Amino acid sequence: MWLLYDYIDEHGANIIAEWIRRLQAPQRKKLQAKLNLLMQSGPDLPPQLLAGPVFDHIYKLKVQGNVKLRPMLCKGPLNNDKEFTMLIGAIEKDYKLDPANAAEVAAKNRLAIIKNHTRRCPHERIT
Amino acid sequence: MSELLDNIKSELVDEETRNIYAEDFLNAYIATQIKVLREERGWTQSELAELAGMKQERISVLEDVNYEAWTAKVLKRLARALGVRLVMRFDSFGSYLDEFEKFGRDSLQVPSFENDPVFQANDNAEVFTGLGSEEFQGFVIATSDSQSPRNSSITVTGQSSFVASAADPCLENVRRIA
Repeated sequence: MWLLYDYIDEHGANIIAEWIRRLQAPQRKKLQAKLNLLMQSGPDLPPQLLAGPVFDHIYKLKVQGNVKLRPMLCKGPLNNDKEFTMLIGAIEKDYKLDPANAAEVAAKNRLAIIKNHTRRCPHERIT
Repeated sequence: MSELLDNIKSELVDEETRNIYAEDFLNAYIATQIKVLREERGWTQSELAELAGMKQERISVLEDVNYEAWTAKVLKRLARALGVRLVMRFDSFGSYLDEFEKFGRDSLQVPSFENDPVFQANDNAEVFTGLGSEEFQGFVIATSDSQSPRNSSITVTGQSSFVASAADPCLENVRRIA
């Protein structure tokens, strides 16, 4: 069983939860279904669940639907063997990420957590 | 029950959530099991594709947890290639929780017919099929550990694994039916 965390920005806001709340209900549920699978079985068993690393230690979770959700996450970064941390929300449209620099921002957020362990919290389930 | 399973259970109360969770898990299950069965046999995607009369690219698409356009016809072809039977049935949402909790490589592996212990030739094994007792439903192999099975302990394996004594009335039942 893997643990899942959300990134917290410099103002103390859970930007992952904020991003998820802006999604439509079916999208939120599809996302949570994939996160459930990730927590249950980890990254290696379900094929194509994660893409990457797409950038420095950054993976892309793939959720299909009328909106292609592509939240960025990393293993750990405090315990790479049993934790994931969601670092930024993103979508893919016409094969382009929105925001375009999602992977780079995710890498920056990952480093912020490594420097300050309080910059993350347990994943907030929003369905 | 784990915290994750507790959370999922409470979320299944919502109809849309449980349908999305169940459909997503079905897609993930199919994709993952195709990959696990292929790897269990030591095959590449190309090798499975050739045996199933498909292109490698098709197998790659099927081995994707996000793919949802698979058909029973395609899965039947894969089942034949993998030497397993395809099971399709409707089930309760309660069983989803159990399947989700057990979801892992071990629970997904299935032997091909050639490696199915039920059909393995074994001088020390007796195969009983078509058993009427609920306790012994399915295929069962009983292996004795001495030349005098009546007085030996007998290990019974199959869909329900257990150990029985030769004098066990259940085993007598097995023998009688067999």
